[in-house]
This record gives sequence, structure tokens and C-alpha cells, in this order.
Amino acid sequence: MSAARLSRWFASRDWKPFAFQRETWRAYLDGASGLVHAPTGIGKTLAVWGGPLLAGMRRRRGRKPRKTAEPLRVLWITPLRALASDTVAALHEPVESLELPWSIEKRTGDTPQARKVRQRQRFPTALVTTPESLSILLSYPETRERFATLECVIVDEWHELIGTKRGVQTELCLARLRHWNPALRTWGLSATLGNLEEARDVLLGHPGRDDARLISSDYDKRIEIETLLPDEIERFPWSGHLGTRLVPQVLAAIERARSSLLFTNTRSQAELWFRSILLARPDWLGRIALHHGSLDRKLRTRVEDLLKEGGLQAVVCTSSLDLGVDFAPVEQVFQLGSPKGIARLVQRAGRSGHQPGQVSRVVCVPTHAFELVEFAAARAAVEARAIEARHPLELTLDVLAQHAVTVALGGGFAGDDLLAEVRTTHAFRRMTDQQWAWTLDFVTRGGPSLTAYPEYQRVTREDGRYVVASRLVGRQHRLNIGTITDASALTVKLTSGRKLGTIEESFIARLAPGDIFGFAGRTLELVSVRGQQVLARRTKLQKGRVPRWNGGRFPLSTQLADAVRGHMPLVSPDSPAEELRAAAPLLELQARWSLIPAGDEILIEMTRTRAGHHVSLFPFEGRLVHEGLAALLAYRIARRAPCTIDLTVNDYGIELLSGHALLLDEGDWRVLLSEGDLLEDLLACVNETQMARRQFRAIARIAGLIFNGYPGAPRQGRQLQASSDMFFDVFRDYDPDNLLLDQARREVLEQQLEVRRLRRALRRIAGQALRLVTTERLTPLSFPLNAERLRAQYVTSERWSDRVRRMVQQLERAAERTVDSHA
Amino acid sequence: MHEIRWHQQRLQLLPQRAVYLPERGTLWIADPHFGKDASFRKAGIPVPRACQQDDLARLHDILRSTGATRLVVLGDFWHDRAGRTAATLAALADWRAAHADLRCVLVRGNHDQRAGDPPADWRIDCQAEIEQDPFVLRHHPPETAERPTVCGHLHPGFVLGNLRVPCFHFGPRLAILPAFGSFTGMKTVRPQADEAVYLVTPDAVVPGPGVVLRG
Repeated sequence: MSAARLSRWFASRDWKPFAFQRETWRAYLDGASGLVHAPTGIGKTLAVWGGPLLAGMRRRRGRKPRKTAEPLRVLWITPLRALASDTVAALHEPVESLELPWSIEKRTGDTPQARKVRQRQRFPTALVTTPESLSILLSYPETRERFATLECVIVDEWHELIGTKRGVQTELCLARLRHWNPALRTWGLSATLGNLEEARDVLLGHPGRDDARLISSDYDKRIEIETLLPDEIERFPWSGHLGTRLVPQVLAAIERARSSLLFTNTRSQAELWFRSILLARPDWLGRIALHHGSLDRKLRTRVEDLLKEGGLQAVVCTSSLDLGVDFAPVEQVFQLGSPKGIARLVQRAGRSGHQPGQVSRVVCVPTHAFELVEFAAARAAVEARAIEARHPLELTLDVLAQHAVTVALGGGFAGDDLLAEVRTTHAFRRMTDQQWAWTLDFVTRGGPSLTAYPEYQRVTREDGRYVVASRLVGRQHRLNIGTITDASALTVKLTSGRKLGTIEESFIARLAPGDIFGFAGRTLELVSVRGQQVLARRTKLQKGRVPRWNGGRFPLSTQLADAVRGHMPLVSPDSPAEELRAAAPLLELQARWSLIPAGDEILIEMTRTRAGHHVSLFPFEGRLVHEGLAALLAYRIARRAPCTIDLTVNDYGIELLSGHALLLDEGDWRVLLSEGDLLEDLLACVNETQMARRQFRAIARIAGLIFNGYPGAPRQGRQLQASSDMFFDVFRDYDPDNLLLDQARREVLEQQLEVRRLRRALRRIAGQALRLVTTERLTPLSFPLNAERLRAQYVTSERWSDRVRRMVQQLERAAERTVDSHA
Repeated sequence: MHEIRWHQQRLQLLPQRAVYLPERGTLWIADPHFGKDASFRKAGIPVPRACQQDDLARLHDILRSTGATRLVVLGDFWHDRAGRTAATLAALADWRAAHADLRCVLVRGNHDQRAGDPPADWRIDCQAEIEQDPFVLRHHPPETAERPTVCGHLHPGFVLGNLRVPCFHFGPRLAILPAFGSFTGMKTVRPQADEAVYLVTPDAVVPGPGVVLRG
């Protein structure tokens, strides 16, 4: 029996198959499809890989040994091409021991051209690839025939793909493969999500299958969350100075273990922490490293390799190291600053103890006193398994347009056939006939507005089928398949010619030659900016500005925000959680000067300072929702009586600052905070055009309007270069019904303004008691907002920090005085 | 319209992205990149055709409203050879016929060198560089300008908050015009201490930050 052989192989490694692994194997042999979810590091890979292996062994039973490898059976899709090599190695292990005649190869953007061509002639038994490389394969007409023996597609780290346009691209590719072979099995691997059933259904397509499985490991990975407590609590916390006060404690903790990963939330923070550590321990040069998504691939790969070899004491990193790769030597993980979300903290914790049976530990480092509450709240949410959902995207016509060209190139399609196929995906199951017709028009004639222009050719019709006739169009399209877009970035190079990584233009624009800045863990002096290249020279380690990258500021997730709101009233000197005890002095002062909102209350503080009249309210809904809500409130207030209001938000609340008192009573607030004409008001008050223009960048690239190419790919001819802004403007002026513009607006509402969440928040607030409090001074809750507002007014962060520090001293003195007067 | 004096000459900066010299009846534009939209469509990239029609309409308007007798195009009349489609040629021929008395000069730009000169019967005088005392008019900005020089080529744009707008970029001896074509990109400029920018908004040209130029 082949299952016994596989079990023996487990036994030979001193492992025992988990029940969920056996269950997955059986389901696979029954021909079922499904999703497997289990914590990191307990054998998800073997759960889904075992099925195809067993099927392979059954097929071979009683037959003569094969001289050549079996034909293509399994496609293994991974979201990270950096993971492909490790995956090939992991899949290879049991194949070798079981002496199966299987070949396993990877195919990603990095695979040499010659090998790709050879693979297309004869695929390996299992092909490890990315969604992009799979799409490119679908653009070759002969792929259908070469995929005839395929029996299974496995999508790894599905939780990373769902909720993104790459996820939609994957859905479309899967629909194509299932159209070719309805018996094809689809299996996904996912970390825990709040919407696992939906995640499975999205992966398997519509209509759902009766035999769809959702298999969970009964194994509960233990996660320990501990917090480095500061010796002294700041009663007026403000973000931006990084909690570097805790550097000595972090250093001591790093020394405790053989190797550590220190996760930050943004690339800038990673740079700043790396520098702080190195300034404190110059002798660690070479033993600590930095890893984030804007560093050159070569630098990153070196760090990953050193980490695997156990050659590094610590790596400061961002979510660039959240995924995959088994860094067995990692003993401990730090979360520097707010965890932002539960799933994120669990994922990061899982980077340590990445073996079955080991405990995952994460040491949380508050950079801001309220984060103590976040950590306690996160621990409770992890224990309750209150994990965030990731919602799949729908009706992304840019991705569909790209896919339609891909299919036209890969042998062509009849309109109705492709429509039926596309509607089997979750993303397009509700697509209207008009949306489909527009998309077809867009790829064939450039859109309805271009009807009369015969020179246009991308997809053409031949004998009733849509095909790509132009070789130029085909070549260009293949080079630009994919949905990953980079912000326009400049390459940073040392004078020696060594590439360090990329930086955004907006940052470099503020620097002049000779200025000092920190990047890639080095201190650099700007030499020149030419075209897309920034030339810099190294200088001695010192403080200097550190770049900010767009997209770095995650909002607090709904789950964590809910948990934080629930934990605020629990803070006391007798709390069971040490973080809550540590935060007690902070909330004690908040209670004394204002109040701590109970779970069913929303706090609005009114304070007058020299700066003006402050109104601060605390919905605890995360930065993005607060941005939309703040703009909405200002708009609604100004509609009653014109006034100028300065808006500031953070993850906890909103500050409205005005020159005159706003004089709003509870009834007024009820109206201001009502749902009303939410969409209409929101669109009237945010700079929607500007936001849509920004959002349109990725859409233009995905829909094939502009061509970024990718590193190493030949650039498009200069004559065909255009920016997404140019397209945005000409469409807005001359083709206003273009559905891609409409999509940009929808994405602004859904992604940038989180309208769904905003609506939910307004509904919640409608059921809450409003607590309006006039305070004499800024409170521990409102002070961080004030500090955030001041940041924008100062040219240098040093002067800003000085100013904020002075304000903290004044407030602390006032706090001492009120204690005295109480005494 | 925003009038400035530069090297003792009156220059009217027009929001249609052109400069008019009232004392000489001359209109300067740079980088119209005619046919660029067609060339994109040919490559399978949809650019609405209306944007070139709009550019030509804009040119009509300023020629009429200024009453200019001479037009100087500071290079990149064409975008590329592929864009010289029948429709583009016909539209431009109509435009030329509508202004038959207009004297036209093209200072060839880098794109024109590949795309070729406009058809001879359009009577556009093509030169590498011309003089219009006290100015030198050319496409490509020189490394250092010995004499007052007016150029195109760079498509200057100025960043205002998170918006980038086309601009006229004036230095002590070098002036760069914004690109006339509406489907063209921009290169961000940061004026130096002795330079000025004038920003193009839909209906006015407004001085940007920088020095005030003295005639």
C-alpha cells in the first residue's frame, strides 16, 4: 500500500503524519479539491504534496520502472519567486526517498530563457511557478496540449494572494485550466484567516463543487507573546521617536538568543532601528543585517542565505521576511511597534519555532505607551483566534483585460466561451454583460470611443475568434503580464557602481547633493541624481534623514481595533496582563483629566490651547477610516457654517483644530456622525481626482496602457513611453466613460478610504453613547494627535521633536500639580 | 496670459502653452508631438483620438486670437514615423490650408530627425537652429547659453503639492517652453536661485516661486 510507504518515509525521519495530513491525502485520492489551513511550520506542504505522490505510486504499481520522468502532473503556485527554490527542495525530498520517477523544476521570472524554452517542449512532473509565470505559459498556444496530463494545481500561501489583484489573476488562470480539464483538482494552502470558507470557495471557483474540502490541522501551535516593559511609562506618548529608549533592553534580548528577527511595520522604521542598534553596538557590524523590499535583490538574497546558515545575530526586517523560507535557526522574533493586525502578529511569531512541536515566541517592543494596550489586546485576540478576514477583490477589469489579451495570444477565444469561463471565477461571477462588452471593446478597439480608428490593433477578430495577430503586441504583452507595480522608484547606486536598492522620487526631490541620508543600513552622501539613478557615496555612520516609502502605513485592523477598544477600560494596576498594569499610570491620568470610554461609549474631548480649539474624538477604527471620517466631519461642519479646520488622524482618533470654538452639542454630533449620504458627502470632500489619479497608476500598468517592464527585461521603445497620469488626463477629458477610471474611483473608496469599514463604524457609533468632555489640557489620548499635527509643520524632525518634548514637560508638570492638589 | 520682459522683449506667456511676441507677430510653440496618439494606437495602446484634435483646435485658436503671422515650432513636430498616418496627415494638411498665409518654421528636434520633415507642400521651413534677434531658437537646450536662447525638448513641469503642472522655465539666458502636445509627459524642474517658473493652469499662466525677471 503506497500510503504505508509514505508513512514509513515519515517514520524514517522520526515524524508521524498528522491526522490532517492523512485526511488531505485521502481527500486527494478521492478526487476532491479543497483548502488546507494550519499554522506555519507543521507540515502543510507534505499534506498537499502527499496526495499527488500517492496517486503517482498507485499509477506505477505493477509497472516496469520508467527511464524518463513522468509527464506534467502538478503545478505548484507560490506567490514569492524567492521561495521557489526552497519549495523545489522541499518537494524533492520525499520524491527521492520514495524513488519516484518524478522531476521537479521551477519556472519564475529568474529562470534562464533557454531552460524556459526547454520546459515548454517537455514540462517536468511538477512545476513550481508564480501566478505571473503561469499566465505567461497560458499565452502560448501549445500549452493546452502540453498540460493535458496535469492532474492538480496547488496554490501555496493562498492567504497572501486572496485580496490582491494577483489573487484575481490566479482565479482567472485556474478557470482556464479547469475549462481545459474539468476533473482538475485544486488545492490551496493558507494560514488562518477569518474567512476560510470564502477563501476556499474563491480558490475553487463558482459554482462550488460538492466535494470541496476545508481541512484544518487540529494541532494548535502555541504562540507566546511577551512584551518588553519600559522602566518608566510616558504619560504623553507620541509616535515618531521610535521608542529607541528601549534599545538597551532590545540589545540585551538579542544577546540572549543565537539569532533573532526584528520585524518593523515600515521600511523607514527598519532603517532607523538598524541604525540605532548599530550606533549602540558598532562591534555588531557584519553580524546584524537589514532586509526590506526596497533593497536590491542581491543584498536581500545574501542576508537570507546568511540567516539560513546561522551566520547572523539579528536581522531587522519588514514584511519582506513574513513569508515562506524555513529559517530554522531563528530563535526569537521581535515585533517593534504596533502589531497592526492579529494575523500579522501570528504570522511573524511563526517565523520562530518553525518546526512541529516548537513554541512560537514573539517579543513585543512598544514604541508608544498605548501599544502596551495593543499587545495585551492582541494576545487576547490570538487566544480567541479572532483572525482578520481577507476579502477577495471583485470586478477588477484591468486584470480581466490583461487576461483576455493573454488568452487571445494563447490560441484565441470565442467571446461567449470566455465570458462563461470568466464568470466561473469569484471575481467576475457578477460581471454584467455591459462590463464584459466594454472589456472586449477595450482590448479590440481601445474602447468604444476609438471605434473608427483602423490603425488600432491589439486583439483582432479572425473567423469569429479573438486573437493577437501582431507579433509586436504579443511580445510586449508577455513582457508585461502581471499585476505587481512599483511606485516610480529611483535606483540608488554607490560611486563604486554597486546597487543598493530603490528609493522614491518624492524623497530624493527634497535632498540636494552633499546632503546626508540613511539607506540600506548605510549612511550616504548624495552625489547626484541623473535620470532614474541616484549616485551616493558612503560616509561615516551618523544620523541623517531616512527615506519614507509610500504604502508603508498600515491601519490598525478591525479585529485589533475592536480588541483595543475592549481593553481600554480593563487597564488598571490590578489587571492580570502585565502590559495593562504597566499602562495604568497613563490611563489613570486620562481618567482624571477626561475619561476612559467604556465599550459602548465614544469619547469626544474639547480643549483650548494656544494653537486654537481642539476637538478630538476616538472611534479606534484605524488610520484610513479616520482619514475618511475626518474629511467627512470637516465637510459637514463647514456646510453648516464656513470655517477652516485642520485635520489630524492616527489609529485611535481624529483631531479637528479650528480658530473658533465649534460649539457643537450632542444633537449636532449625532447628525454629523450619521450615515446620511455617506458616499455623496465623501466624494464631495476628499480630493477624489487626486486619489483616483494615484490609484490609476497600477490600473494603467495592468491594463497594458503603460509598460514598466521588469528588471532585466528590455525596455519598451522610447516612442511608446507614456505615464499613467497622461492616460488619466486624456481619458478624463476625452473618454470619461472609460470603465478603468470608474474602477480607479471604486478602488479609492474601497481601499484608500475603506468605505465599508467606515460605514460599519458610523453604524456602531449610532448605537453608542456620546461622551462630550471639556478638558483643561490635552490628555494622554489627544496629545499624540497634537504631536502628529505638529510634525507636518516642522521642516526638520529634530526641531519637531524638541518642540514636542517641551510640550510633554509642561503637561507632566501640570499632571504633578493636579496630583498635589488632589493630595 | 502673463506678460513678461526678457532681454528687452515683450513675451506673452499663453495658457495654451505657447509664447507670443506681439511686436513681431510671432508665436512660438515647442514639442507638439503630432501623431503620437496614432502611433500608440498602432501599437495597441488606446489613446483617444480627440486629444490631437484638441491640440490642433488650440493652435487654431491662438493663431486667430493673436493674429500671428509667423509660427516657430521649437522641435518635435512629429512624434515618430509610425504616427504619420493618413488621418494625422489629413488633419494637419487641413490645419495648414486654413492658415495658408502663416509663415511656418520648424527647428528640427530629435524626434523629427527620425520621423522626417513635414511634406514639402505644407511650406514649413525646416532648420537646425534659427536666430530671431536677440534670441537663438533651437530644440535642444545647450550646455551653456552664450546668448539668450529659447528651447523645448525638456517638457518642464512643476510640482505643486501632489500635482504636477506644465510650466515655462526661465533662466538668465535660457528659456524652456512647456510641451504643446497634450499627450506628452513632463520632467520636473526645480528652479535655481536666478531662475523663474510660470505655471500653466487651464485658463491662466501664473508666476511660480522664484525670482522676478527684470527686462
